[in-house]
Amino acid sequence: MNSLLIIEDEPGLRAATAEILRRAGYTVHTASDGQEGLQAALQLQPDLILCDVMMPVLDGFSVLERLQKENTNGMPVFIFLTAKAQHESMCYGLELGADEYVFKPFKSSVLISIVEEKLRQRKQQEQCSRSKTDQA
Amino acid sequence: MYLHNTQTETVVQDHDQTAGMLLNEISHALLFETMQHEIVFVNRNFCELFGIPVDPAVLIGTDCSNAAETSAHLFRHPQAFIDGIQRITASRQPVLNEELFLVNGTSVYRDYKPISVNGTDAGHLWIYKNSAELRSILNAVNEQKDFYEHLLNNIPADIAIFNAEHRYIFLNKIAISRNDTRGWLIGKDDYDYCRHTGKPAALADNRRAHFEEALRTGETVEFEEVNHKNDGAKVYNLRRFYPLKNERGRIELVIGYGINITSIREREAELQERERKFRDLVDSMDQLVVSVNRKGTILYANKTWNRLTGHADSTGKAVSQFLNAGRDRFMNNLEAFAEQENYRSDQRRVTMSDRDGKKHILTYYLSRFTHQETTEDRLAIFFTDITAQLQAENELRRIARQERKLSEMKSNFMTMVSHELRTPLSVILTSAELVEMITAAAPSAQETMPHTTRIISQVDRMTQLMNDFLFVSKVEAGKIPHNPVFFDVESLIQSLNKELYQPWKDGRSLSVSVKGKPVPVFADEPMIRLILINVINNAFKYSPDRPAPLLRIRFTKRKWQLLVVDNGIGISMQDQKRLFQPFVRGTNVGDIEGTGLGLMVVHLFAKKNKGKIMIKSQPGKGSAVWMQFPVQP
Repeated sequence: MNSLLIIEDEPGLRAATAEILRRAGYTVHTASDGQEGLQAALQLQPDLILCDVMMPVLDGFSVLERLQKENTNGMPVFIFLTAKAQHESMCYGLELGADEYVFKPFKSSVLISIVEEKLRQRKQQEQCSRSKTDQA
Repeated sequence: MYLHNTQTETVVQDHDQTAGMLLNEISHALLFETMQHEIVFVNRNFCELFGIPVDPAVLIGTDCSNAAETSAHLFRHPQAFIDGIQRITASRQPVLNEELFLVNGTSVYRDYKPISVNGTDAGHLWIYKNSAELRSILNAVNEQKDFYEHLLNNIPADIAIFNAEHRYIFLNKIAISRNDTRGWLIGKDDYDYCRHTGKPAALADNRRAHFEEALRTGETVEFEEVNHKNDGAKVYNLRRFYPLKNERGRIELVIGYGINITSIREREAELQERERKFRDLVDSMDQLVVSVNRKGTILYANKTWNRLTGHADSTGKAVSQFLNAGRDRFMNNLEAFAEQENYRSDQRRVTMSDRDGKKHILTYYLSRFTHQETTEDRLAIFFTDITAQLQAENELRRIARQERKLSEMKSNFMTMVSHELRTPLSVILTSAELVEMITAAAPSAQETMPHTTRIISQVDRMTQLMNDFLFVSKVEAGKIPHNPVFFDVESLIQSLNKELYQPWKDGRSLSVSVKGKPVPVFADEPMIRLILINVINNAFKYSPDRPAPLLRIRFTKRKWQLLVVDNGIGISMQDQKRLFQPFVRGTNVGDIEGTGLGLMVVHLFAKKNKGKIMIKSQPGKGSAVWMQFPVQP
């Protein structure tokens, strides 16, 4: 079962999103700000992170940058889930290395299908690289 | 005298004989007698006239006391002849051309001259002249007199001849047309004339003053005289007094002549009036107009110039002394232009301070003309004060900047608001979906489902509204970049059609037709794409359950046109006028969803791409949106 980490400072949204994804069959962890989220990511090593951008203590972009530097065990799938609905912000997030950038408000069905698709892609990539290693 | 036989006497005698011969040849009859009636000289003609059959030389020294009686019978009035001689010799008054009638029917003219030597009466000289001959001479003189009078009367000038006392000797008909007045005036002066005609004595005073000046200087004196006709009209005369001197240098006569110059004066007045009108026109111009010579010295300046500079008269001053920044360049331009051939210079700028020291910015150009009298090259400089215009432009720019700033603030505000709204909307949406999920299996699902569905769809609508609003505020703030390039608009339409309208959500399909040869067009592709989507979506949205809309694209050499026609609900005339304003929707849209921002964006983007847009619609029948864009930049 894939584990997910939701980093979101708005408690209502954090709880509702977690509940929806749990119902979709995922193990869901939550963190209420960037700093806490970074610690949890390093500690729990989830398969996928859903991260807000505008948060107190540490913003979403910084969480991604810090994680890229500090996580030695390979990066999880990283999706921004944000109210910063501008084209420029989206470009910035994707350039930093995020796998997807989802504007708020989002439909649950859309979010679940994105999560599924990104995890499936990641699994394929891992299988590819593993078979290459085996061949070598 | 005749008895002395010396050489000298012979010479004297010769001279006497010569004189006698000459006098004999004169055509008149001559007799010179002493006071005692002794004949000193008589010529042959005299003897012939009076029938004396002897050589005249024989009669010299003889007594002629009875001659009158002897010859009286030859005259028609013998006694009168005898009395006449006695009377004339007694009075010793000269007689000229006294006509005497002879019995033979002819007549002679008689002159008498008393002869004196050293103050003592010496004798009488009688001359009898042939009347026919004299008459022809007199006739000739009269003819000449008539000729000159005729000439003087017909010279187109009034001519008067005065004696040195300023009395009239002669006047021609132009001077005085009435014969009786003209005759009356001879021997009189201008004071008599003024009294006689009721003219003011000042007229005579004025003429007298100029006359005396002519006498004093001996030079021609010229003066102008203004008279009034009976109807009050002015008559202008240019008069001259021309003094005539005799051989001794004394002034005997003064010729006065005058020319009527009324028409010249009237034409001058007309010219002055025209010039005044022209000046009024130039003075009333907003432009500052000066004319200068090649050195830049002002020869004329209009009132607009005088008002700005505060100088009542700028003539004679250098035009450059009034200028500030750009003065040197101005003078260089002026000098260069003076050397050139072209009629008008380019427009340039210069600054000037007014009477209060306030700075004015002026544009100017030079043009050339030739002064009519001097044929000198002159330059005209036309300055236009653009200070107020520049101020207005600056003000407009400031307002535009402020508006942009406000738009930007609005856009930033909208971004901020949308950020703030997105999170609570997410909570509502996700929570509603969660409720839907949780209750899906419950028995109450049928009751709760419509409510949660409504919550979810309204969040959708609110999100769309927010997105549109944010987009429009960005467009208004100029934050949407405009990058026109050449692209294939026909392909864009075909791919959009395939992607979105084959079919549209409700199963209807757009029909697309192309007229003319498709060519690449110069425009911002994303903007054109958005225009197309908005217009086509509207056509579908507002024509539910009616035949599908159609799109036609037409290419001409310079333009490409887009026409989207639907069979929908249409737009009322009232609504059509406000369609491009934000949040304006047709009053007949009913339940059809929309934000009232689409056509506003279409309008803004069309304008950005130099396009025109026109909407024709009839409520209940449908709408047609026509747009036209240039093919080339």
